[in-house]
Amino acid sequence: MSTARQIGALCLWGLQSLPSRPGVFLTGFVSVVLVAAVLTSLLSMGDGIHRLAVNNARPDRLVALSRGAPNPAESSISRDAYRTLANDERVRRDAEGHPLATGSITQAVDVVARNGRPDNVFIRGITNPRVYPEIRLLRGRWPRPGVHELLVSTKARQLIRGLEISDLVPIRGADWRIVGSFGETGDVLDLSLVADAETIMAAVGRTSYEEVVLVMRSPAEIPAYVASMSADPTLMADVYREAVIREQTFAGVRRFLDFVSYFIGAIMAGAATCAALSSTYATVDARSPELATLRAIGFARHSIVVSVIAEATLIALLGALLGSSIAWLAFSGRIITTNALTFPLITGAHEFLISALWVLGIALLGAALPALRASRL
Amino acid sequence: MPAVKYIHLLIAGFRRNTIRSLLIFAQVVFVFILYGSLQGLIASMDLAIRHTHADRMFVASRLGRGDLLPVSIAGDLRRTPGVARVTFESQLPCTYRRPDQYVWALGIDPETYFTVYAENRTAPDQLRALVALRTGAIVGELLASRLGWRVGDHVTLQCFTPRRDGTRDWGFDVVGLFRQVERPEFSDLVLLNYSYLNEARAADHDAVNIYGLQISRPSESIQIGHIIDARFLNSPHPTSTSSEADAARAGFRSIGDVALVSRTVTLAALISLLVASGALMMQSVRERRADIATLKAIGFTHGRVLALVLTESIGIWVAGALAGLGIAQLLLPRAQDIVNNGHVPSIVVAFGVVLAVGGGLLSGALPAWRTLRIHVAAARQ
Repeated sequence: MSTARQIGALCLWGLQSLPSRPGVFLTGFVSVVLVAAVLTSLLSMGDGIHRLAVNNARPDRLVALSRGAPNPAESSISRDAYRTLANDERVRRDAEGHPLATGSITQAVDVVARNGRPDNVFIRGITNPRVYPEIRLLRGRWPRPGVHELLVSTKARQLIRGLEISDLVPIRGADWRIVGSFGETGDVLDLSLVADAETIMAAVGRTSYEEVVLVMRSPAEIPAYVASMSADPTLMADVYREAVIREQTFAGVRRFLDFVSYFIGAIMAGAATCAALSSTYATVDARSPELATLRAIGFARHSIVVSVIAEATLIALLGALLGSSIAWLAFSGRIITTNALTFPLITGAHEFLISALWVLGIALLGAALPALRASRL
Repeated sequence: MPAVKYIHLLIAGFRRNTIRSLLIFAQVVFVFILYGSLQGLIASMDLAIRHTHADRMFVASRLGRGDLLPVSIAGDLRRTPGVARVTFESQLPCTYRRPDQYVWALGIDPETYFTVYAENRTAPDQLRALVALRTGAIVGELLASRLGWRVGDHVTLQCFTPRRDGTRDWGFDVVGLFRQVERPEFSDLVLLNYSYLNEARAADHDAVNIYGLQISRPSESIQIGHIIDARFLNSPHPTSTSSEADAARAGFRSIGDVALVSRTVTLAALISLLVASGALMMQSVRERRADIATLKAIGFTHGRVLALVLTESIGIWVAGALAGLGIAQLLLPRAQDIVNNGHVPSIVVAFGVVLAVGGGLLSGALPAWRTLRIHVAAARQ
């Protein structure tokens, strides 16, 4: 009998005899399912945040911050710098010839959530709505410059009290009227109010933008544009691709989540390896009379080693698939709300693959030693 | 029967299949590392929130971290009903000798600082020395031991805030040390005369970062916060007043769901451990049929054999749990990015041991019950 056929026959026999020892089988299987489920759901949190960060990041959009500022909150860009950045021929223009560029600023306001807890939301002040086509007006109209008016996102309206159209929101002693609402954007704007940047700046006594967002004529011209802006000694600004700066904003939370995911994952994988080892040892021990007989009738040592490992791997991968699927069905798309962030869990092929690789490692570690014992019978 | 014999029997049971016993043990250890570190993390955060001073509030600018408040509103704050004491600090981030050796300096008012922050203790004569010497500095014990500073030293810091003359070198004379009696890890800073800092710096004159308030009745904190913030809402410097507990809670906001996640994960891990350890004990009892029957043949009652199996199971769980909790205790202080002073509190250890006894009982119950049906005759096999 060829080695391949020996291995095939051994695996088949092994799988068929599983139901006779349900306890031993479950020991390894349950822990593998668990590792995959936990790892998949934790990694889905990280992916959800990633989506939140870069969902609407466009390859032709650039963000300028003041030189050296690590994030928009610590950046400050003057109106002069805005003009230099926007009046470049490589910045796209609208039908009237105005550059597709906007100064942007965020300002926190205190609100009360629907559940009665004090909370805060951000007002995004922009000077040119055309830079953000993802803000689609659902009802009402855009705020007019110079007037205390706000646009509210559908989700903020659902989660927070007093943000219906024509409601008044107190900001720095003045009442701001909500004049319209916009649909879901799938990013941080979903929990924001939108207003005219200059009007907000006048109200809170600020004279500079936090960032300038620019739409470029062609992505191919971006490197040259970035180079000429960085070379300008009077500008004192750094220009980034939009996805880069949005990712950077969430880098801290992502690092924390990744640490938690892999810390928990590693400890559970340790436990699962022990479970896989004892489960495979028990299986080998239980089958030792039969294995000895097979050796006697001419089955090769390596066929037995390979079949034990193959069987464990197959069971483990099935477990990984089951675990990841459970996590996917139970959590994917579910919205997590912490006070600071609201984000969906997103389970994709990436999570399935990483969980499967971890489980594969567990199965190989857990089966190698018992397989050697089996071959020495 | 003497207990010593029981111990021999237990060890014999453990060594019947050493690898398997060790694997169950290791699995218990892993699960309790998980339990200990996750619950310890949550408990440490809770503790950080609860161990705040209920009578302390902070006033900062509503416009964000970079914005300062004028020192002139100290009087307004002190006159607010319910406020007993007011102090303030102005931050001066610096480095010492190397660009990566950070030193956090605070310009403070020596007369009020140590009465509001009473957990920072310094000797009265050293405090007098600070008042007397403009360039004096009182150094936290942790910082002093980190950099080897002693009373009488003159130190020069390179600070991010420039002086009037454009240089960034700030010289100080160490006139005393202070001890943080509640959280020693918070004494990694140096306290300076605000008057000197304010005079010598190039910008931000007469401005401070944060006011610290001591209030007479903690129950009034929310009301006092509203009064202060309303008072300054339409001024050029709107304030944001919060209690110390609010401030601590805000620090952990982004990880608020960790509690729920870790409880779910720990529970799932415990259940899978129950299945694994139960199944393996079951197999162990099956293999030991002959031994158990022999014990019965030489006069062991059913009850004693049952107790023996349960003790073995509970023993492995409790020993594994203690080892796992010990490792978690070693790991947690390293998680300083997440929580200061992380540790596994005794309540978490106690509950962990209870869990381990329960887990050992549960996973040993079915195998132990099985031994009741092992007949003496099985010894002949």
